[in-house]
Amino acid sequence: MSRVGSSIVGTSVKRTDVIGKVTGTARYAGDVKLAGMLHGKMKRSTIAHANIRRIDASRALALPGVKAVLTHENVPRVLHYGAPHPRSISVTCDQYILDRKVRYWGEGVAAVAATSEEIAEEALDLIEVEYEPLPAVFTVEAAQAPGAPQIHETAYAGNVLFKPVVVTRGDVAQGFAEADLVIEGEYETGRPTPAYMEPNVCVCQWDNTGKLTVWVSTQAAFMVRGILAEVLGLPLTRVRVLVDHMGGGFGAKQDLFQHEFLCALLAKETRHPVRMEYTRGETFVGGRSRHPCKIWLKQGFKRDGTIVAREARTVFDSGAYGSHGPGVTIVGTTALTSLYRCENVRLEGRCVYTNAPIAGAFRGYGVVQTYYALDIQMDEAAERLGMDPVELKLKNAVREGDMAPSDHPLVGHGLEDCIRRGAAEVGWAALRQRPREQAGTLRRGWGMGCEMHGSSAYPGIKEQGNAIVKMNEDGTAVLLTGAAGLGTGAHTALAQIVAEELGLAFDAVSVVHGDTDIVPWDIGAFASHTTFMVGRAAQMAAAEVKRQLLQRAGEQLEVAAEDLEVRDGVIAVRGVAGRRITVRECMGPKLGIPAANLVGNGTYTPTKSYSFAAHFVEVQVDIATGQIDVLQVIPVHEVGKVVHPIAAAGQIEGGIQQGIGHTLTEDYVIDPATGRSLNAGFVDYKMPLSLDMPPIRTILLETAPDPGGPYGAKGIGEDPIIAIGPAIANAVHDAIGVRFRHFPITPEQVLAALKEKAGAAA
Amino acid sequence: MRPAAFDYRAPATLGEALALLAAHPGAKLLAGGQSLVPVLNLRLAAPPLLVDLRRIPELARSVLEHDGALTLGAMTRHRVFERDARVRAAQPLAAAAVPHIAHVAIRNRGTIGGSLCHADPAAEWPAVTLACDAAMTIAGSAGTRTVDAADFFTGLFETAVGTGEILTAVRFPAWPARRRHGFAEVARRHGDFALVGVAAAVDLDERGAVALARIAVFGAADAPVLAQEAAQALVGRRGEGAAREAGRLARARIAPRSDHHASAEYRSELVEVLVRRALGQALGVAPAKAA
Ligand SMILES: Cc1cc2nc3c(=O)[nH]c(=O)nc-3n(C[C@H](O)[C@H](O)[C@H](O)COP(=O)(O)OP(=O)(O)OC[C@H]3O[C@@H](n4cnc5c(N)ncnc54)[C@H](O)[C@@H]3O)c2cc1C
Repeated sequence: MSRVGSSIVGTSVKRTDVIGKVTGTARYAGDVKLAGMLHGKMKRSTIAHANIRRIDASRALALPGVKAVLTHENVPRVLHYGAPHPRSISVTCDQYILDRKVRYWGEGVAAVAATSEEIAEEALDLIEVEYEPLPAVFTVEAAQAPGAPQIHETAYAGNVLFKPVVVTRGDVAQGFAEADLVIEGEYETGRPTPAYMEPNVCVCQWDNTGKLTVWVSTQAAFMVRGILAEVLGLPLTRVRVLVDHMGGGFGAKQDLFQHEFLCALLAKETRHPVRMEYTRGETFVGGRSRHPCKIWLKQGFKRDGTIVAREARTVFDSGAYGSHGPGVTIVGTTALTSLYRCENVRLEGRCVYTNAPIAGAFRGYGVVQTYYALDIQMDEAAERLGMDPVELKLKNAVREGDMAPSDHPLVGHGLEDCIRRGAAEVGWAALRQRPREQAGTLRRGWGMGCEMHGSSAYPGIKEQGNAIVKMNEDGTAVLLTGAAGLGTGAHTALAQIVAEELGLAFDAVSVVHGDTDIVPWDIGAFASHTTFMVGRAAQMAAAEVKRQLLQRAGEQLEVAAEDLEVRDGVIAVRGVAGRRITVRECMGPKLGIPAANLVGNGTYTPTKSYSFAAHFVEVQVDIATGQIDVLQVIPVHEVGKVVHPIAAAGQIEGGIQQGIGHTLTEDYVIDPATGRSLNAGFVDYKMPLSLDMPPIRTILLETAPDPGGPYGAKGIGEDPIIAIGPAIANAVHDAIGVRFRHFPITPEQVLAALKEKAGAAA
Repeated sequence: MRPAAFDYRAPATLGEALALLAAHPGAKLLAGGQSLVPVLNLRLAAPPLLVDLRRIPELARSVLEHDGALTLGAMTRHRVFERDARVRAAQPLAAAAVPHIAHVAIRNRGTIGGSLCHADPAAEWPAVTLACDAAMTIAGSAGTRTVDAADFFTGLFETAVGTGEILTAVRFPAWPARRRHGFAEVARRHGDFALVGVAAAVDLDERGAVALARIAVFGAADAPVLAQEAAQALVGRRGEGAAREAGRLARARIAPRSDHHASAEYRSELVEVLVRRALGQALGVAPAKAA
């Protein structure tokens, strides 16, 4: 598609990655094949908490084809941050490559490199490990009980990861004293996992100068480089990280897992390239889940629905390592300052180690949990106040100028706009009056949920977006970006922004990414950051190049650069017909004059920006079997400016699919006695599949553009997974009058609750 | 996940296949591979030899007799029941059940013989053969024998097919003019194995009352079971009350187990509800989907 001019941003141009993906030629880290490449495998613990008394690799080393075995006895012992932005408050320094102690069932205890995956796998069974078992704790209650085993020496206190976060605004006691209605409740969320399609994989190779090259599936190539360099004791000139295409990450692939280090060390030891790829099971066992969370929430309301006080305590289960525990706890907890305005707020959030699988960053980063509680409680309050929940939420929806969780004033009335538009779209007022089906066993209900989510991790992390734009001598341009392409279409969006700014056709901009030796630094593709921050940096870099271009054109046309404009690849004198030159002519070499070297650098440090959404959902509950079906979803998202409508809708549909899974079917389960994982695979871990998906009618609004974002655009990556959950729970309540305050909600629980309700009524 | 190494043969005749089984103890038959290959990949089995049945003509052959009896070769793919109107018309209960088996891609490859021999307790085909009183033909070195569905499923993943034997065909007796059917199951997602399911065939007398019923419940025990008492209680009756009572009787007689997908109690509840629903469909007292 050759779109030109001002229509590029906002148009669904053909994504630059699709042909490669649908034809199978797109290269992923796992596709890398090098001469002499060996295969690495990790041996994982069969106990949740233990000291390793003895580990013996001799039988494994004797197996023909085995080239090296690593255990805690022969790898560097460096305490490190296994997650990005080391030294930020978001993450914890508590990991070793391999430790003398194991802290969860399935933790890596050794690694093998062999000439084939089969041999490597066979060798794992030959490594003998003798454990000295320690008492293990699998719930936050057990982990905080007196006498609980301490999982990490580095913890803040006992198994509490870091100093609990406390947020206060106004005077809560005063607020509750003024309330006509006080509601409190406990809410609990499950352990869904991101279940990305592409398993974790990396290939490592050392060259004869002692430089390590790593092909890896990561959202944060520069973080992988930095942490690898630090732990292995190398300067950054000796580590190069390459990422081309990715098959998803959803936040989890910000972390370093154990295999990156082990793969590099196996390659060093064997002097051969080594490839390590997780099995599907390992993506669960050794991956990162969402933090299971318990939320106690209490709010006070005036009779007219005004919220006068809000108090909450949250406890996040980090599992065996800290990963993003602090960040998730802080973001999830402070999110409760907002969405529905309230002047008197007191919040406390804590994060606790257990011997469960590691929880990490996952799309929605703590907010999925806390807004689930908040939005369900709003529905409860509406019922008690005798108000329409839409009215109650509209009344309290955050508005322009209100303080966001990040302590920045909000831009625009995005949330209000989303609620109003969605309510109009589904005919909410009429739905409230509709007659209810009483025959048969099928009951229908409508519910809605809201959310707001920040673009970028600022101010928790002092992020920046970077970009370099260069002109080619034929008038085309190249964007260099460190932003990863998880599969979201981010590179297409960035190219659209550059083309738009430079007045070039979309096809005239190419994107170079995924090589830490070449592209400008980037913190990683997470926190709904890429289009917002890198997009703005790319726009700035393009604007700088444009300035240089018009300067050059001005010299050639003998007019002042300020009088020139560029559109559709043509530079013209504003208001003067005929005085024009194409960008190609302007850039190219002339007799005796070399082509120009025009380079623009853009760096953007943001303020915080928030996107908003309201999801309206219809469900059907079968009161005989307890099955819940989502019949339709109408998501309304306010994103400032839509850069690529199809890609934006894709984010929303995918987020809704994950959110339906969270709420109804997905839960990564461990044995409560041993911590052994019980459903580490796609047969038993139940993500909704295409056949399970309801129709989704997405509505995108641009009513609150952010002056910081490119053309007003804000983030959209995380938002769609947040509001769907409470919308479903609220719809279930509307259908059958049962209030669920946890997820996932299983058919079995629905039946049990209906029986209880019938019993209570009888 | 990779299977352990194995040899592979694809004989062209049944005799050769039987000879290979006899000569290679531990050899496994390969039909559509939709259950066996996952088992190999997860290294739950490591047979030295796979004998692929796909080239043997008589295993792929199906015959629809004049009286309506239908004989399906063991290698008949599930998908045939979605594509071939004659087969669907001949066995409406099977036609109602097959779309619940997995997904299209799996139904394209998976076979009725493979499903019956694998004998997953939550699979649809075993229950359908029970409800339809089908008979299986089994070939072995000593010749051929026939086993009724009621005697075929002997336990969890166990059948009457012995070592060295091959299931060659399944024969469904002709579908009587006054037979009605019902099929209902509950699974967590489309295409998942059922938590519980029910396949029912009900023969009516001239006045529209039940003359004979066969109600096969699957997913609730080690193998599909016929709810005999429930079926007997239906005789001579009609209408919703009959379906309800049958549901209660079936529940009382079947004691499911718990696993992390569902508790025994929930499965019991489903037995009652689904027997009621399947019979409701058969007796014409409820729509196909709900109630
Ligand atoms: C994701 C997924 C979901 C599924 N969901 C369902 C579902 O909902 N319901 C359902 O019923 N099934 C389901 N299945 C299983 C599917 O229906 C299989 O096709 C079927 O169970 C086995 O048939 P097959 O031809 O693939 O047999 P294979 O996998 O080739 O063989 C299965 C077993 O039977 C033996 N065998 C095969 N043919 C013969 C023969 N002629 N004589 C003797 N032994 C033989 C084999 O040696 C093997 O032990 C699912 C499978 C998958 C992968």
